[in-house]
Amino acid sequence: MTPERWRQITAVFHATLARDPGARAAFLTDACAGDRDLRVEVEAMLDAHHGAGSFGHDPVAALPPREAGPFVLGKTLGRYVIHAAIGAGGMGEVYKATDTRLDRTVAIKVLPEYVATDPESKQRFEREARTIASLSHPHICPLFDVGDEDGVHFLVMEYLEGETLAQRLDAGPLPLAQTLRCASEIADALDKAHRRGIVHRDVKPGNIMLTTGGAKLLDFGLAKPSSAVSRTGGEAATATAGHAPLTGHGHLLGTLPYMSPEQLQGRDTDGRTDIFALGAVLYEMVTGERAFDADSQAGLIGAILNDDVALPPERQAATPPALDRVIRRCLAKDPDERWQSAGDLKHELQWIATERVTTPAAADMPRLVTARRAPVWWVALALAAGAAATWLGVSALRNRSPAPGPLIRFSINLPAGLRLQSHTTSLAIAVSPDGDRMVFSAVDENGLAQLYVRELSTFEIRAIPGTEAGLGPFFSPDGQSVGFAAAGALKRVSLAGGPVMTIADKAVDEQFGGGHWAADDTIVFSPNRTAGLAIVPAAGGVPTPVTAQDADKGVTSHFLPQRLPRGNAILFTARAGFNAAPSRIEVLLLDTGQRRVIAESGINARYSPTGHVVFGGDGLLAGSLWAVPFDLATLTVTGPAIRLLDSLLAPAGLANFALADRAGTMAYVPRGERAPEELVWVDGSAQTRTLAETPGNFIFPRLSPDATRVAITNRHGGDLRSGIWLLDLNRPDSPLLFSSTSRNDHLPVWTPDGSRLVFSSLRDGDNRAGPANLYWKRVDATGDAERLTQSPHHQDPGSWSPDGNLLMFVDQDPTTQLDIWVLDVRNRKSWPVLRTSAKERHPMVSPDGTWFAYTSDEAGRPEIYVEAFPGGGQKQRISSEGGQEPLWSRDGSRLFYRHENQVIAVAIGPGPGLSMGRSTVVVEGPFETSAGTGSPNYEVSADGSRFLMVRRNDPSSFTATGLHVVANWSAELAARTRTK
Amino acid sequence: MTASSHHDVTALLHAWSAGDPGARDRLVPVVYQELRRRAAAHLRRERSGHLLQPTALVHEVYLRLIDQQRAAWQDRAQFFSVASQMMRRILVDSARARRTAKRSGRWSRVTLDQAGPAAEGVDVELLDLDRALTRLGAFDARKSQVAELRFFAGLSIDEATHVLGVSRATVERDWRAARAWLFKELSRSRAGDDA
Repeated sequence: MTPERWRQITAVFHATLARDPGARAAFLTDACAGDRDLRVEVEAMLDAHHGAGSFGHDPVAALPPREAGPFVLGKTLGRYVIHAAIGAGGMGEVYKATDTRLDRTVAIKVLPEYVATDPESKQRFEREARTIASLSHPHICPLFDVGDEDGVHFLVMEYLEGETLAQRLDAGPLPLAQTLRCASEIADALDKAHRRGIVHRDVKPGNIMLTTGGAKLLDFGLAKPSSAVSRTGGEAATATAGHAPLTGHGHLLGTLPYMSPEQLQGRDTDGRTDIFALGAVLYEMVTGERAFDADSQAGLIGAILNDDVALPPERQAATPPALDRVIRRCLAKDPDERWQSAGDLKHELQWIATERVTTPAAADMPRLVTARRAPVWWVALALAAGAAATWLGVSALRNRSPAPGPLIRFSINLPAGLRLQSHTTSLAIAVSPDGDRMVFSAVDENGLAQLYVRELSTFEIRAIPGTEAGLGPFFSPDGQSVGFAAAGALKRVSLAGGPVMTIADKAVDEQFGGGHWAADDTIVFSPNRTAGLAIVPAAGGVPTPVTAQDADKGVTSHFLPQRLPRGNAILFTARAGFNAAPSRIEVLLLDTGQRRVIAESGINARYSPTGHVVFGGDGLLAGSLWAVPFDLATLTVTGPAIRLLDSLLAPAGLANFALADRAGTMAYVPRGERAPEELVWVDGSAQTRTLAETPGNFIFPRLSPDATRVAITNRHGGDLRSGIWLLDLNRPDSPLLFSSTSRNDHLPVWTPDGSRLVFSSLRDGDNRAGPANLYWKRVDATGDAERLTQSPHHQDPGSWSPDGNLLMFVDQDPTTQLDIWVLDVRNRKSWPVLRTSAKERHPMVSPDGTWFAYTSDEAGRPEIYVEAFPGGGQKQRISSEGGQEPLWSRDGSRLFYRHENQVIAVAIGPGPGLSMGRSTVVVEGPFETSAGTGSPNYEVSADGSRFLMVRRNDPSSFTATGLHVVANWSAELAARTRTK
Repeated sequence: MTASSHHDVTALLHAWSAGDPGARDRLVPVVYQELRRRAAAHLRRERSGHLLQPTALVHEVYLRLIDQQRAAWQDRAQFFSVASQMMRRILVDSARARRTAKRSGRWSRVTLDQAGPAAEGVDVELLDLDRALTRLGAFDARKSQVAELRFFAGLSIDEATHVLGVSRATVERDWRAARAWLFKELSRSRAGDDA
């Protein structure tokens, strides 16, 4: 096919689709004007468009598995003759077929093999199928028959004409009336099912058909893998699939964006799970956007577990407030906070629908939502981690059978100035075997590490003398002594006092991987990152290696060992590299040297006296904690893993928790809340002062012209979404949200009079069309954001001419890369100033408006240039060894730029020509440079004496200042396991 | 695998957005290797009924290779444009290898003995899809890339918009046309095979 012909075909194809269905044939005849081939091609495309079902909605893994044998077209399954494949999803293929006995068209869904092969799944499936077949409801797709031919299991359903809600949503949000009607129909369908004890568990737009007879719910409670698909051996980390969406590989099955927190956490589900999902669907019908969205599965899970969802402000204005409340209540994290029945939800939706007709539209609601909501969002973020930690306790108390012993949770806060040591190969905390004391490795204000002990019977936390620089503490079996690594040696010390004893000198290094002191008074430990495990007598001696490094398998370290109480075996973690493959949990049989994999993906496993192995999730699941039943006699896993917690601190994936060997006490380090980046003032003497320690990722600070406020972009944890915040320099800890986070507003630049911020945004009232163009909005929040440019390219604002008439910005034209343009805001006309194949960025107009400085890579690497503003003159190169992010001092006497980790100042002489003086380094340090194109990622104070920099905290240095302790942990664990 | 630490890859992406022409060339092998290694690990562990999920894989590799805190959306876009290409190549290579191995009778090799019928079915689809994508790319490169981003990196329309730097409306139209065309071609090749 030639590109020209293809253009012709696609043009007619799109134009035809834009017509009403009834008018398409006539249009096509006209448009093709006798070109028969063209018509054939377009019609084939149109057929494919309508027949493609869910093709392409999911990435390749969900492509219909083609089982060529049984499913050729024309094949018969009992009395059904298959005509055409009409779609496929993760759970099976769907075909259009004829029921030869009743002579009607039906849809046949072929079930995946695992449903058919597992007897218990099959039984459950058939039982559910009978129940569902008995459900007669106008908004549930009827199930006619269940079949089993030649080992092929299939369902026979009504063949529905129409499109799925997912297809409809591709075209944007639904009108309010339709939204309310559709949602209440589905709620009604769910109500009926729930009353029969059937939970759908996969309510999503792809399972809702929009037909002339209204909405129809598909795939009712069927074809879900039953809870019996647990495995043994190497795949024991499998969550029970009926409850949790995880397969053995840590992959997520099902439809993540619509899953409820309880589904994700593997807790029990009931009708309220469907209500959550319907809330997410409702949100999407209203906004056209998913209620939970993130750019990774981990992010999505985090969003579902933590983020409160509210309609975007501009939608709120056009939506009855009651509907906003309905959605929020559906999406409550705690099932008890949701609508308790789908029937109630239906009535509420119907009430809103009738109320709408009789009351004036809610369009005149106060538009203060932005300011009013800001603090709520803020607090929610700050509390998220803490909230995650409390779910377990709350849900356990509410939903589980009572635990035999009282469950006690408390926190231990370190004395001021101390923080737990960050280490990526050993743990900072240890719990004594009887659970009565804790030891931890902490760092003081001067950066000195030492071991500290807290007896739970006292309030005191005391340093253990002689344990300076101690790493990876572990208790002796009697709980009276502690082993640790320091200065290259494995050492021990008695908590009752006395000198530190060296067990093995020159036996370990900084990458010490933890140890365990067994009842036979030997210690198994991981000397460093590359060696295998070794055993040494606790009284001292020469370590004997017990595992060899298996580099051939890509595994580079064995660490965090525990000698199991029986069976002469060691439980340990095998890790491949440090940013690479998932770690796995293994058992080593000391008598034979044989090794067994307990979990394919996991880190830091501990045997609990309840008969479980508890371990941290790795990779995408880092920070989660799991328990799997484990038989000490056979050293095998005997059941599926259960997810216990989601809020552990896990530097480099290492889950920071410790269990008592004999008692039911557990300690863990909760995930910190501190931002990975912070804003700091840096002055000439390299002193830094933190301006704001804030949740979020604050970048691109811009000081207001009156130097009282900073406008800044929050990247929201790496999410594509970002928002603009205002920090009052006098009250930097209470930032104000300037623009909504859901509209992708970013990179604010002040107008010279300080009245407005211009920024880059994906917002567009009508069609959400990208890419990011320029907008501005008044800082006092009166009035809406106003669009300044209309371009198919991304644009980032740079800086203003002093009179506030001209804005320099960067335009990302794919053909000429980054270019510098000027916008005249008086007439909204813009024109290119530097449009070359080189990348020009960071256009910064000098304070007097004579010059503009910019970054260009025309000489092969980024360098700073200055030209007369607004362009057209000679340029002069300022930097010589590379530079970017130019920035003028407010008096114009100096031009700053960044080179590697420095900020360099170049003196600029007065007078008409550009004369450069000396260059000096004014700031040096590990500060963030610009990943953007518009303005620089730092700022200078009004008097030029200080710099506002974004400091990146070392991600490996966590600043945990406390730990959570759970007493009777094991009793609860047992209870949780029993109820599974 | 020290060459693929957070910092290096994130720095390469930065360098790429900053115009360093060599950055992409240095980046591609790192992403490719990491993806291939992890894909191989996943494929080894496959059981019938469970499919390799390239999207999850690409995102997993993204999480591992890219320093989330330092990456800007431009970096992300560039990463996914590279990763979707690499993922496609890996899946296609692996599908071809399995096919070849099967034809030459080495079915009982360790790498194959866990490939059940479901995995085989996907191989065939994959190769069809790959060929169709290549054909589409010959007369409309951008539509082919949109489809590649959707199929192999699981990107949304909005995300693809970022990667391609064209308007959302354009990507939507591209995707609609590409999807219809691909489905037509794949149905055709399927019908042809069955006949």
